[in-house]
Amino acid sequence: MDEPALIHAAQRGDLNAFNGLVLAYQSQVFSLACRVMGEADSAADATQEAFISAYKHITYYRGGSFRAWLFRIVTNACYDELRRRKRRPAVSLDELTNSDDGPDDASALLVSKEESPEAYVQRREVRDAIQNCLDHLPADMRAVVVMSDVQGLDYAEIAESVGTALGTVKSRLSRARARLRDCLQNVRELLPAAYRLEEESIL
Amino acid sequence: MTTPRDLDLLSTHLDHALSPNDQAALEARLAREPELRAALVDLRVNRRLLRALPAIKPPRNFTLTPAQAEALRRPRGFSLFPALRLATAFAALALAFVLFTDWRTGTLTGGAASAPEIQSAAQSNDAASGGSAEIAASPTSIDLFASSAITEAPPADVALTPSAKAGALEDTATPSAEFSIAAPAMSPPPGVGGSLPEPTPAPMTQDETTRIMVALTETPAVMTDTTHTDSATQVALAPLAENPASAPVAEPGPPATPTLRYVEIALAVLVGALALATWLARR
Repeated sequence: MDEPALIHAAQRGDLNAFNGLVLAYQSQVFSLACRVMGEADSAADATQEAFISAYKHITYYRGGSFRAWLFRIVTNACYDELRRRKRRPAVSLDELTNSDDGPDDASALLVSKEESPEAYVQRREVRDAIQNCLDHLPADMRAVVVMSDVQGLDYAEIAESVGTALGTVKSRLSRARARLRDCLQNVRELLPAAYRLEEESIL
Repeated sequence: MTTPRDLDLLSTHLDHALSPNDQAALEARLAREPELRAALVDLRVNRRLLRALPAIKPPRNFTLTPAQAEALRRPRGFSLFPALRLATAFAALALAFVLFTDWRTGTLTGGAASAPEIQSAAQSNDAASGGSAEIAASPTSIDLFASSAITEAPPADVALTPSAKAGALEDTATPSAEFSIAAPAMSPPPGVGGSLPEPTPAPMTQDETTRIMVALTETPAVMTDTTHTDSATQVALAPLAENPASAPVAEPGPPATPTLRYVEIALAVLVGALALATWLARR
C-alpha cells in the first residue's frame, strides 16, 4: 500500500483511495475503540464516526503519522461516546476476537498448539481479567496504555494521537501501568510458570 | 519499597526512553534491589500480557459508500443555530441588565424620589375627598401614596390619629408601612357597605396643607425616639416643617416605571422566543 499516494488521492476526493485507507486501518482503529470502550457496539459506532470524520477532514491532514491522526479522531470519538453512553448493556469482546479462527502473532504468546481445554479456559480468564482491569482505568490512561502496550505506538505517536505533551504521555502511561500492576496481581497465578521465568531471565 | 518515582523510572526504562545517566543509575539499583527487580518483572509481564491480547475483528467494513460520500461532500445549508444562540445570549444579558438597573434604581432612589412628590402634593390645591384610606405598599409606593392620602383628606376634620402617627413613624423600619388618616365626617352611604364613598372635590388651601404637615412634624419625640425611622421620610418632611411656604411647586409627573416594565416584559418575551427558536434550529 502506497500510503502517501492514497492519502493524496483521498484528499482530492477519491473515495476508492480513502476506502483503501479504511481497509488498511479499520482493524487497528476498531481494536483501539473496543479496548477503550470495553464494548463492541459502541466501539463500532465510534469507529464509523471516526472514519466519517476522517473523510470530511482529510484535507486538513498535514503529514506526520496517518495512524496517529486516525487514532486521535477515534480516541476523541470514544471519549464523546463514553460521555454520552449511560448504562448500556455490555457485549463480550470474545465473540469478536479472531483467536478462534487461528492464532495471530500476538495471541500466539498465550496459545499453544497443544492447548488443552483447561488451558483454553485459563487463557480466557486471563484475557477477561486484563480487559476488566483496563475498564477500571480512567479513560485517558486507558487510551494511552492501549496505544502503547496493545497497539505498540511510541511516545511521539501517542502524544500526537491524544493531543498531549510527551511528558504527559509518559506520566499517564506510568500511572496506568502501576494501576494495572496492582489490578493484575491475582491474574499472575493463572499464568504458566514459564511465562514469568522467561521475563526474570531477561534481567 | 517501590515508590511512584521508581515505577516512573521502570516504566520509562521499559520503553527504552531513559537518558544514559538515568539508565546506568537504574541498572545499578536493579542489581542490588530485588524488590525493584520484581517490580520491573511485573511491568514486563503485564506488557506482554497486553501485547498478547488477540486482535479484535471488526464486525463489518467501515468503508464509505458513494452515497455516503456524496452526502458528506454536499455543503450543509446555512444554519441559523449559531446566530440564534448568540442573539439569545445577548437578549438574556440585556434582560438581566435591565432588571438589575430597575432593581438598583428602586433601591437607591426609591425613598429620596418621594421628597419632591410629597412637597408637590402638599402644595397642590387639587384635593379630593376621601373617607379613610389605609395604604400599605413598598417603600417607593409609601411616599407616593402617603402624599396622595394627605392631600386627599378633607381639610377641616383631618387629624392624624395617634396610632396612625406612631404607625407611620415607627413602622417605617419595615419595608411596608401603614398610614391612616381619619376623616370622621365621611361615612359610607347606605347600602354601599364598606366601599369608599364617591370622591367629593374639596379644594385645599395652602394654609390647610401647611397645618397638616405641621401636625405631622409636631411629634419630635416619636421621631427622635424611633431608632428605625426612615431617613427618606425625614428628608421629605423636614423642608416642609421649616418653611412650608417656600416649598417649590412641582408638576406631579407620572411614575417612570411603566416604560421600564414594558421593556422588561418585551425583553423577557424576546428571550423566550429566541430560546425556543434556538432549540428548534438545533433539532
